[in-house]
Amino acid sequence: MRGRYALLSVLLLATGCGIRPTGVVEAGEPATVEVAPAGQLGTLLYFVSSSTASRLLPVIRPADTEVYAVGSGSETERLKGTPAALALLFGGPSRSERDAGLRSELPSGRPKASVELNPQGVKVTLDIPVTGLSRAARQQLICTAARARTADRTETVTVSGTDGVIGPDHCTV
Amino acid sequence: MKLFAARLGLRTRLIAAFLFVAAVSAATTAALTYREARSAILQQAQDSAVVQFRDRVGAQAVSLPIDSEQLRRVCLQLARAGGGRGWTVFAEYGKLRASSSDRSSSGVITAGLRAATRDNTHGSFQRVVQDGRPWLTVGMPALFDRGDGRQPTGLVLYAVMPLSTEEANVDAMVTAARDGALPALLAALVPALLAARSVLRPVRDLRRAAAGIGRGELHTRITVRGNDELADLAWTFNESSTKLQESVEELRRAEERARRFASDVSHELRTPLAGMLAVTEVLDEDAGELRPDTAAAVRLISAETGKLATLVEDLMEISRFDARAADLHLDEVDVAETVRKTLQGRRWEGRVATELPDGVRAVLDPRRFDVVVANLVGNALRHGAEPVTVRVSGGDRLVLEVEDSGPGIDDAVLPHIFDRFYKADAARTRSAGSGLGLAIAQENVRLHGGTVRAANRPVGGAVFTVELPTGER
Repeated sequence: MRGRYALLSVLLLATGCGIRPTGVVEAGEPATVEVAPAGQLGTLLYFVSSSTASRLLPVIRPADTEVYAVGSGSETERLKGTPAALALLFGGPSRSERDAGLRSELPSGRPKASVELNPQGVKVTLDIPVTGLSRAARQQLICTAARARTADRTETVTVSGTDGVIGPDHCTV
Repeated sequence: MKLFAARLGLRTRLIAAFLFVAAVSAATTAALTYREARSAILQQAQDSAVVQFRDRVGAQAVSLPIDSEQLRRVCLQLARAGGGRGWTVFAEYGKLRASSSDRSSSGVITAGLRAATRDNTHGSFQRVVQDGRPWLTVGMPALFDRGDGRQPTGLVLYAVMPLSTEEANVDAMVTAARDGALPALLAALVPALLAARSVLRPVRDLRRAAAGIGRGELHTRITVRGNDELADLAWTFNESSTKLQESVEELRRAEERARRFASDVSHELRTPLAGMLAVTEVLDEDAGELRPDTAAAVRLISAETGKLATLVEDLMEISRFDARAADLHLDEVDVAETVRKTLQGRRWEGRVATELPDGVRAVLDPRRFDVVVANLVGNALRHGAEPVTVRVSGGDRLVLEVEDSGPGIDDAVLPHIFDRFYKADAARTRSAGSGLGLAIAQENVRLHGGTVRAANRPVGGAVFTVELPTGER
């Protein structure tokens, strides 16, 4: 008799009453949002979010900023395409981006950049040393260059600097 | 448990067992149903909340980077789009925080959910109970696609909604289960009572029948109902009582035959004995003229014939008692006078002391009372020793005591003293009496509705005490 009562109470206890808490449960797909400007317009730059270490967040600069002055005085050139995107990246986060906690781990400045596309992927040549760049900084370069040159951030990228070569590597975002 | 079972009746135990089974099954069913229904309710709520939240977030458009106003706007739009859900939306972008309420961060969202949502590209949810209130928290990262696969925007949205509706539903189920179980228990009482009745009725019949058999009503039988174990028992009981009745009847017939035989024998003996008595009287008268040897033989024959006649008379008397053919002819008499007459009739006045108070009157059969007194006094004179005292006292009951001054009665003999042909002295096979005197006295006393008992006096000697009712019967 005692055993039966025990069984009954165990059954009742196991059932429990009310709503009990759970652990974190995976619940399928994430949400996909539209980002302005729509379509392929604008230039994607990758900066580092300071809230989570070495994690890249994309920002989109308006399309009309692709015309950008590099150099000084009479040597002003009008850059377009990938070099322009890289110039923007080296220019660092804007004020609103900084407000959101974004930063760049690339050295600030205006390095000269040339980009070419060959069968091995995108090849970027910079006139600064690159082997000392942090992992986040390399990813910033690679993702931005691949996205700007091929509209596909997963393209293989090789970066050559004055002191060596990075890659070939992929954007991990 | 055994004590517990022994104390309660069969009905109580049956009902308890039924109720226990009903309670267990009701509780089990309710518990299992409750559990399933609860998880179904919660599952449905969670799934629809996650799907709805994902859809609403997917309808949003943002520009990157997101500034705090845009973040706040997204939160408010999502909160409005929640409709009846009433969720509160929290958003994180970089180090920016915003919400649809006045607090920018929620105390309900756990660090685990935040980490899972931020570090993975899938939605997550978690049920949280805080201060006794259940909440559903959904975390949803916002991704975008620019033709090269989806990538995170860095925007993470959380919806926090109270599960109060679901809790109310779950509580309602508990109430419903309880309200359902009670009538089920009450309903279980009905078959319990019916089952108890179906078991108890045959048992009661059996008990009544067994009591009837015990009272000697051997014809008692039970109606066999149905085909179950109790019916088998009733059938067996009937069989047994039939057999018992047959045996008892057989015994009765045998006893009847034996009695009739004794009665018949004594009747058959009476006629030749009467002839023999007449002859021996004549021989007795002439014995004086015979030779001494012959005279002694003739006197012996005469005496033995007389004893035989007494024995046959006693046997016939006993037979009448056995056949219940003895009648009581009641008359109101003076007891002292009756006793005196008896003693005079036997010529015992000189040998027996009497204590006979005058005025003691009783309603009794004078002939049978005479037999009782004569047998007791004769027994005292024969087996005890003089002086023999007869004492009578009146009152509610008439008490007659016959005392002797002999050695008393052996304790081993005392219980059998009124048995027929019981010889107190095994060595003495012949005695003057028939061996039926005390038995006949006892039968006569019983016929009067009285008692007779034998005992030893402390001072020595035996005392026989007869108690008779004095009034009308």
